[in-house]
Amino acid sequence: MVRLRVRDLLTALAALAAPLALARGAAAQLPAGAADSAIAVVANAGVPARALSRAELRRIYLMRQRYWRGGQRVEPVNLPAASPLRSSFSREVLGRSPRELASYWNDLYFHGTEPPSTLDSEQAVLLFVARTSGALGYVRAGTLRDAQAPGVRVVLVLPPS
Amino acid sequence: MTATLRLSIRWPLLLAALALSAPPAAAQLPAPPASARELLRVGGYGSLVFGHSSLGSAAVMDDLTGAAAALLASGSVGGRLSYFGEIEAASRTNENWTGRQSDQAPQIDRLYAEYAFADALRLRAGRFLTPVGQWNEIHADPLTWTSLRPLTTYRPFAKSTTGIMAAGQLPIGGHDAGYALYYAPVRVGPTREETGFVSAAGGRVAVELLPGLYLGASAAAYRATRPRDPEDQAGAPSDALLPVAARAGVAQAGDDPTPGSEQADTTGDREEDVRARRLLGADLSWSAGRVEVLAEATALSAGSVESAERGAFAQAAVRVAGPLRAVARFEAYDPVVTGPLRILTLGGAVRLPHLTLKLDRQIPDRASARVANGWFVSASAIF
Repeated sequence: MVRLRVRDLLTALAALAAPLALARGAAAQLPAGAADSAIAVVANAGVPARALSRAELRRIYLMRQRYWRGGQRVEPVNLPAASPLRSSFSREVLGRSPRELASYWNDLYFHGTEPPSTLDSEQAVLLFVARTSGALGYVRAGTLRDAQAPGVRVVLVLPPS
Repeated sequence: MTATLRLSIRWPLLLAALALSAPPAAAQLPAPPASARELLRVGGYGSLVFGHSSLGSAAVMDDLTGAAAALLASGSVGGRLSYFGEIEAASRTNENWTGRQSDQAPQIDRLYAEYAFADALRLRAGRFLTPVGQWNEIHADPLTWTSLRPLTTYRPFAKSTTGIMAAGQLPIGGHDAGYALYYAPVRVGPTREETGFVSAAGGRVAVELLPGLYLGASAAAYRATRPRDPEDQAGAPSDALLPVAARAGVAQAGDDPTPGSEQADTTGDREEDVRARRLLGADLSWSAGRVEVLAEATALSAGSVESAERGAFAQAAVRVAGPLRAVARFEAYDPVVTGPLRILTLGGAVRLPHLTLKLDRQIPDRASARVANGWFVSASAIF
């Protein structure tokens, strides 16, 4: 009886986890020894870039670069402003905290440009990037290891700050 | 046994129901980024201003209550074609709240379509903000630190221009750089600005030298109209009442205008300067930690009935505590019709996520109908 219940439970959990089952392989792209707290910048596997420089990443997240080299539109996504990972990413890549960038985004809003959209969790970022052409996001290396998202390419790893 | 069996049946049923009740994976995905392909985004801003000030040589302090509101609409189609519109209505004569205007009809500040070939090249057609300096392109009251606008940011050029523009972003030598080139061959629509372009061509480049440090340069050649009597009846100095040509003679001592070859074309209450004028501008902004600095300068060559003009200002906003900033600005503009003008502005601003409150004290060094001497309080909101 107990065996049956455990099996049922596992079956049901597997069904619930089906959306994440597509996530296999990206963790292997992480450099050996990358700490779980490192920031892995991930792009949709279809983007032409194999790797990104910090300067390119900064231009994209400041909405100064809107297109990949092949002409495909870049779709960057952020975590919520209160997220510690977002704060680390912002300071590391953009040089300022999300709060300090408020004026910058207000100015761009006045020109019809909105900041990258936000997603609630790193898992949502992985799903979005895997399924959206041209998408770009960031997660903790440890999250990537756990999820192992296929359809996602690691284009830059930022060391823990 | 029965209970256990029931339980064992319930577990998979319950979990299956949970799995079925959960949206499919695709539906769990967040909506695509809003920046890319929305057909319509609507926003705007509004301001309420109360002033207690004097104008010109009037010793009497007047109260002024004014309001301005702007509606913004933008959108994009297919990721490359986009549009932007801004319509503004304001109960003021000039940018500096020096009085009310009788004609309060809304004015289209921007209405253009743009196609992005690449990051380095976007083509725009329609009405757009004139790219001179930084203030004019980000002029919304909630985004500035003072209720009053420096003369340098609006007097020597038109706020908006109608024509075509090429613009883009390029990394140059490891620095992010942007450019804009525009050509506006004909005047479109009425204007109530101090300088309204009849025809214009120009451009601007801006480079981020260091994170947060921007350096820009602007140039323009244009013909324009200006109000017939820039120093209006609000207590203007006596020489402002001289005919325009006589004022030009005063301001350009030694010049010898050639009658007939350069004539002022007067239409309505404005006069057209038929000689092309050249504008050069430079600007710098820097923000780091608690401090934001903005400085702009323009030099305008002499036209047929106007004298050469030069203006510059430097402004610092320092975060004192929380959202409270202390603001100081010094501007010099030479001439404002009759001579140089120095303006000191001191104040404070509180900027909250959607609301900005400001208190300013503006102190010109002489009376001028173009610059108020007094206190201003404003509240502005952006949505």
